[in-house]
Amino acid sequence: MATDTTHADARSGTSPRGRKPKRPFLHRPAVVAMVFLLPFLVLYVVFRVYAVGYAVVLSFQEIQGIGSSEWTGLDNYQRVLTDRTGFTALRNTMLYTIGTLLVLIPVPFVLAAILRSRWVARQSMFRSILFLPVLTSLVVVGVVFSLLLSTNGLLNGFLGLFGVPAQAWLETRHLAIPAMIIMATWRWTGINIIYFTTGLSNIPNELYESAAVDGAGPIRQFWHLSVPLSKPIILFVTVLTIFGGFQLFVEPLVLWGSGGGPGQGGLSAVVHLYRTAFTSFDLGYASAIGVVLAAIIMVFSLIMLKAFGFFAKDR
Amino acid sequence: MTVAQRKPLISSGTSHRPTVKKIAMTSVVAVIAIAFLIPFYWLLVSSLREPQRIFADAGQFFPSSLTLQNFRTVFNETPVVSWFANSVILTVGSTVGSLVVVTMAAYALAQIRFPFRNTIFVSILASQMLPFHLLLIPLFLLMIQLNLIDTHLGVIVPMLAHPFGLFYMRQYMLGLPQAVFDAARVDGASDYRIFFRIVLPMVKPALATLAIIFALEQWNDLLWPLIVMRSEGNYPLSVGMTTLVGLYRPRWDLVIAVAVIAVVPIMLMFVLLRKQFINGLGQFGTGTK
Repeated sequence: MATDTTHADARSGTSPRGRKPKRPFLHRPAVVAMVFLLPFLVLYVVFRVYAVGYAVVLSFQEIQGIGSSEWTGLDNYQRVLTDRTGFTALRNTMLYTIGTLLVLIPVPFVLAAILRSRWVARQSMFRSILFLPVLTSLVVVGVVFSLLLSTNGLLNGFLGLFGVPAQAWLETRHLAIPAMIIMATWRWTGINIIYFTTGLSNIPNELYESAAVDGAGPIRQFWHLSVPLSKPIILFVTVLTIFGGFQLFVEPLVLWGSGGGPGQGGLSAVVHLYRTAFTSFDLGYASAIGVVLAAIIMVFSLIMLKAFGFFAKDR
Repeated sequence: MTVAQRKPLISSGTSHRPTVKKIAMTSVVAVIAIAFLIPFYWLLVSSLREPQRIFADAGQFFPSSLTLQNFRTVFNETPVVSWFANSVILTVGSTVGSLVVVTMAAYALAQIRFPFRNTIFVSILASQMLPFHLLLIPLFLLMIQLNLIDTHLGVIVPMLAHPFGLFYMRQYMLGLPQAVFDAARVDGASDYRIFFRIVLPMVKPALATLAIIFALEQWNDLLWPLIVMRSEGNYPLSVGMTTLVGLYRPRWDLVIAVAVIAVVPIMLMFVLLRKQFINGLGQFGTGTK
């Protein structure tokens, strides 16, 4: 690497950082740091810190048109507690999150393990194929699955081979969430396989070798080595899945607009917020929904971290 | 952190001929892989069906006839060329902007000692845990006040300070050999000189990884451009598609053609940069936006 030794005045700079008192203003460490940090910091303070504060402030107000607002105390939060549509949206979102957790942790984990075992040829090709859906936008996912899940669509055709009667996946209230879990399975399995593969490849080979010497077969090696030693990465993927699940928005919006689908069975919490804010223009109340939802996400993530003993270690 | 190819089970080393087990397992995986490819095939094949056959034949694996009619219609009836251009502008703008902002900040946080350095870093990182929906309404009102509604800047600027991008770049810079920096400082090089002459060339791999992630995120994003962009000519592809689905009578012939147009560039990029895509995204918590 070119270190530019043209003015090799090595004696003059005895210590690498900021101990010389007479530096020009723009070269003082704190000033240099600010110059480099400033663009990010300004954007961060305005569009993150200030915006969050603003969201909390708005949640205590009623907004009538842009620019005129009135303090209403806890009224918006009281409304959240009696918002039946809101509860439907929250229940749907939780069901979706739990459903995606039940599928998107075990399935990619097992696939990751299989995909690096000696029984599978062309491993990286298969990993790439399963990864492809990760690249598609959620809008496209919604569009494609509108076709695949239509009443005379491919999924019903496939299930028909096993004698399962055709389902109106996108027009039945209690099938809206399962339909979106099917979509999530296609969309996210590939990336979770990559996470788990990384985790699994960090387990020392010697452990498997000594387990094999002790007579443990592949299944036992999987349960007693791969699973417990992947705990950190499973925790990581779990938190990501919870975080993503609660933010469900694009798929229901594409499938059903902001109406929430059949009997509001596909109404997610963020769609409810979006509708309240940008269809009804009830910005204060929508902000309260946002704050409550953020709190719920935080609590769920913390519960998960606690359940995995994340706080037991000093990290 | 690469996707290692190491086998977890001891390779027997006796025979290299495929065993029954290997053939069976590979077949199972192949069936799953084919199932994962079907939606792509379905998108493509549906885009080539006649408009009235798209849902009528939604269960037909092989189309009775193929036509480019939908693509002709989409070019005639929608500003899809503008949508594509807008997607490109937003993607390039936000990727380049984020890279500049993130790399500069990462240098300060990795290489310079100054008061509250760790406090600043940790609080920025913690903001990655903020769900985006919480920022939606305040950012919308801010965009109105800043007169950035319905502008490309309005979509790009609020998203530039990418916390995880900063984290990634800082970690990368901390991994660079410290001796190089010390030597440069002994030689009297200023931080500005070090940044442009030494750091930038050395962090190229990290810039490439982040570029892929930022670009993919922006190309596929819906929620924020949906709120900022108001006039049809300013939509990116994702918003254009969503409005076509949201019509009173959804125009699926157009939607599917636009969807193909939106997916093809990414797939081409993936074919060219497969390793970078998989390794890059594998190091990131994607989809949290």
